[in-house]
Amino acid sequence: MMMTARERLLTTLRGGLADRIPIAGFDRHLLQGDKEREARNRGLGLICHRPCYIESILNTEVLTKSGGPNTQVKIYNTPVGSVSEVLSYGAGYGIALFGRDWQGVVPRRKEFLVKKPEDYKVLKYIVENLHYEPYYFAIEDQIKRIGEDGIVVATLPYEPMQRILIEFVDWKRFYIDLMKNRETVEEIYEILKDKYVKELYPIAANSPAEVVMVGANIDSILVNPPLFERYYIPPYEECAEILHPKGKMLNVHMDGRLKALKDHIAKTRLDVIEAFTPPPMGDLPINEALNMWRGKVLWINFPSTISTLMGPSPQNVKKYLIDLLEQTIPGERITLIVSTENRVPAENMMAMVEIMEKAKLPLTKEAIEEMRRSI
Amino acid sequence: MVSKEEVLEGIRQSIGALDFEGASKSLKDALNIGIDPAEIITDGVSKGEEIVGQKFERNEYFLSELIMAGEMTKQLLDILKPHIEKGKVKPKGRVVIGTVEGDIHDIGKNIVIMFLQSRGFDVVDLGVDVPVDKFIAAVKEHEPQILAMSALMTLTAPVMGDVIKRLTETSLRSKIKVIIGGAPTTPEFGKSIGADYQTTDPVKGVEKCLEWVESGVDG
Repeated sequence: MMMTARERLLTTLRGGLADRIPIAGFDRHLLQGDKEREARNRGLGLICHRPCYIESILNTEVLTKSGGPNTQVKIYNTPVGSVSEVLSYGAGYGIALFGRDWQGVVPRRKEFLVKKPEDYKVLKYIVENLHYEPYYFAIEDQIKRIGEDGIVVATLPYEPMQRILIEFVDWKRFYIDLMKNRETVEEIYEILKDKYVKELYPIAANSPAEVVMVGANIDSILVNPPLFERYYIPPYEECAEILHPKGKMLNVHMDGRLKALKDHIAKTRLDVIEAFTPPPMGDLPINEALNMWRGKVLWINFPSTISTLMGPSPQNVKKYLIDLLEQTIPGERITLIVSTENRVPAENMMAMVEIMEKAKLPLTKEAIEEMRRSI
Repeated sequence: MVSKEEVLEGIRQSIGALDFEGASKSLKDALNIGIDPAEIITDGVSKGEEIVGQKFERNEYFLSELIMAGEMTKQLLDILKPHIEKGKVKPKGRVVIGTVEGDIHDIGKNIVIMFLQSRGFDVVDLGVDVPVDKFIAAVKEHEPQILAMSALMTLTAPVMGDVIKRLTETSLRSKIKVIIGGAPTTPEFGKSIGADYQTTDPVKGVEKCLEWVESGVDG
């Protein structure tokens, strides 16, 4: 009997053999319409990321003011000093749909909290005063709504050091500070890690979601192997200690170049590598990743270079996908994600759906040849 | 006394090993034995940066090491500055560079800038989220041999095509070479928008720029 999208995704996540290789899209990236509905009727599942916590900063006054069109300045006044950041929002922010940005994308930081060495003192205070509470409604609500159409993933903030790198300190300053003032940066990292381990990871462990996203945007250019080993693996390990006994699977969104990190990733207890991006955008072939990372499930990000950049090109999409699937024979431990961007032409999405309908498990060489003949 | 070649090799190897103290000692030795500062830059500092680039290519170095090398080069050039005769060190060429409108990713662009500067290019950095008009105005103002554009998002990459179109409309296209880069781009995409070269590899990109200016080819 044919599995539902949810059964297919969960069976694969639990190491079993589904009826066919799952294909899914992130709900926030799938644009609704007739083709999207047809794709979902033909097996395209949904992966819905939802928060499981509320974060607040105690003893700190947070003021916001306009910094010009689509720009917001946030000022954090603490007893030990003030810092500010400048956030740039997408077009239409605040005017579309009663306060929402029409695409719902996250704002980009034009200025970071740490601009000079003294700002670390204020950042330390902010991090020390982070407070977490459970918030499961978004997950519970989505689980009810989604039914058999997909799964819900609980989300956490970036890994402690990734958060410092991406949200608090501009990357250029980050590397220089890590060299020249390692103790200062490490102190913030330790406080944040400790807070996550004691307060945040237990909240995620008790959430109703089966999968928890515990980090994101890993790329070896930005996070080199020594950094990954020293600052990323330890929180993953601590998180696994807390989440695994509760039956939760650990997922990290790793959408960058991973070749240089492949040995380190193999050593982690991560269960799902989300947005694994094969060449030409990534640098690690899928068969190599599957061989290296035994026991891990790969959610493959279909490279937008093929799916989006050149516009509607269904034949190219099919050809690329068949070649990709061939490398995964017998097709275990993988799920195809349509894209991690939201403008995939409908023709290309339907081309993926058409091929994935034929990706019965276990995948065989003959099935691949049959797919080739069909296009 | 150490030979000229030994001193220059010391600079190269120290930079390649990110050893600032070693590099500055060798650089001072080079000045003491009377090596022309222009030669120190060309055969010492720049070649040391090349070693850094090669290590980056081989995944031995990453962004953090590039940042360190960039800082180191800046400090070494500060030591050399008072000794350089005005006008003696001429840039290899000029590049105008920016991340296209709608995109604020700057890591790739900044890596390319570091490599371009280390190989002797004068670089005009327009920053991120650069509108088409700003690219055109900068090409008119700075008269570069090369225009370099970057985009990390698939949705913003086509803006590079808009810039090239405007270059053609304003009769500037034939005067410059256009190089594009960024994770979502491909050689086919580069060709489709009329770029002269596409790469996601900063070292290859800079090699191509050198090839262009050394052969004196116009757009």
